[in-house]
Amino acid sequence: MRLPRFAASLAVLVILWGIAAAAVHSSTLPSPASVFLFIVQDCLHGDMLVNLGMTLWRVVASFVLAMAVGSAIGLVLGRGRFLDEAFSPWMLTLLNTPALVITALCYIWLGLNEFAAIFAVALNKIPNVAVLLREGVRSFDPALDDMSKVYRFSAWKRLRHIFIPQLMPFLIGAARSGLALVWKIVLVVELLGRPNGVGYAIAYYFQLFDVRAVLGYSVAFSLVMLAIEFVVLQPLDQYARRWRTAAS
Amino acid sequence: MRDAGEPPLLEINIASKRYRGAGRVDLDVIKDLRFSLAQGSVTCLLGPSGCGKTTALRIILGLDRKFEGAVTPPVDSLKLGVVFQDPRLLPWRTVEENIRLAAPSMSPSGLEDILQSLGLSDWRAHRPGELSVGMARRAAVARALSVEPDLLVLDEAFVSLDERGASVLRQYVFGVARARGTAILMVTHNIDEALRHSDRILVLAPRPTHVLESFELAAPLVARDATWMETQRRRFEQVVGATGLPQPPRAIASNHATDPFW
Ligand SMILES: Nc1ncnc2c1ncn2[C@@H]1O[C@H](COP(=O)(O)OP(=O)(O)OP(=O)(O)O)[C@@H](O)[C@H]1O
Ligand SMILES: [Mg+2]
Repeated sequence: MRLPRFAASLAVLVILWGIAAAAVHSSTLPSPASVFLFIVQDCLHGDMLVNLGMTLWRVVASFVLAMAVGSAIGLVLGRGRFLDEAFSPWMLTLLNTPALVITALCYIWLGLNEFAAIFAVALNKIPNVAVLLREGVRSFDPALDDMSKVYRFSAWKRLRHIFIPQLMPFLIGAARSGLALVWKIVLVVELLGRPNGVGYAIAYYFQLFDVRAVLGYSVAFSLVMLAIEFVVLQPLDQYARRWRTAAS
Repeated sequence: MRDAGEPPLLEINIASKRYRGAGRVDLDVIKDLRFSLAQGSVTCLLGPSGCGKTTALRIILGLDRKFEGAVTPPVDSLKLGVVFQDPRLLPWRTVEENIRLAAPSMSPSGLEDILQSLGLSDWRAHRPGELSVGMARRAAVARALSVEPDLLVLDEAFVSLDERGASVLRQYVFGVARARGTAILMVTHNIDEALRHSDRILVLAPRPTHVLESFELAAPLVARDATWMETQRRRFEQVVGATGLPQPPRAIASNHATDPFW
């Protein structure tokens, strides 16, 4: 969606929130203004920036790990029928294991540390990436393969000019759905076993029953993720599809 | 053109090719298809629709190795130029990039020349999605010629063009290939195209296919005028008649496959 329309739609949501808050008039539903005030104050005087930074780092690290490992697995599964039959049930099992279980086990087996946290998040996302990329590989056009062989394309040339362009929509699809999933899981992982980050902060303020702070953190991090969507993912998507627009 | 003493460019011997069908019914596509390609010669394959021409080409090009028989010498030793039945350009690359990817060592002036000759100069920076069908086909032809192949394979390369465009393109392709001494193996349904440009027409049987008749055309290209064409056409019809196949469509307008059999 274009940014202006997106912003307009969000503005309506905030206005509705404001009306509801005014009607209820209770500390369990603070007004948008007071939440934004909290964000600003906590950024200036509190731990907001540190927590946002830590969470963002975990999101990026586990996202990169999940995309890399998941893509590699997806490519292998898409190429070989035997491997696909051997390992797809594993993928399916992992895909259906609750994030909470994976996280708890990672902390127990690897210790309450940063690596365990990032690994747990990545493990939640890997099967999803792998399944998407496997479909991408299966959709490869064999005709282009023939062409590249006849004209003696090197392995590198085939990867760069034949495979990656065909995989691009699947990679971007996996990235977009992945980012949304990853940051939600990061919060759970932080809540369970990290001494900082947005998830930790939300758990802390929840114990104090401070709804304003809980909403403040959640809104602040959503804004960060929206920025990534508009600044990184959408332009990337457009770049990858640039050759399609002219085709119609 | 052809020298009896020279070894052939390729010796093709496909004893059997079958596709593993669904439901355990295998499809016998080729049975004992044998012929050789002489250096610098133009060979035309003419056979009913679905008889296995594209299948044979894929085997000859080394793209399908699941068959009984052999193609010697190994085709890997040859530089190949191919115009597939569809243009098969990379949609995400421009015309120029598509050509350069296949022929990286081509000189800028050589590229210029070929784009110019095929009327693609103004379209070099466009992607295939922006080209008409005819232009995309010319781009595929440009790519095939750019590699300066030892063997040029044309799988119905001139269909879906208007007759004038097709004829101009044919003149250019065969002109360049003859001048360079490039061997051509082509598939067509167009008798006139086959008669005018080839040294030999191999009439193929319906599936499982093999060579029914080899129709030699010795006359030099310049001697192939209207009367010569008419004589050869008649001779060719007799040969086809003797094989028991229905006559393929005659008219030059049969660039478009109108006949359901051929
Ligand atoms: N990959 C494949 N798997 C199974 N069967 C195939 C495959 N490719 C082709 N065939 C079958 O093999 C037969 C020959 O196909 P092929 O494409 O070689 O015919 P063709 O002579 O080139 O036909 P046309 O003149 O229509 O292009 C057809 O019956 C086709 O259905
Ligand atoms: Mg064919």
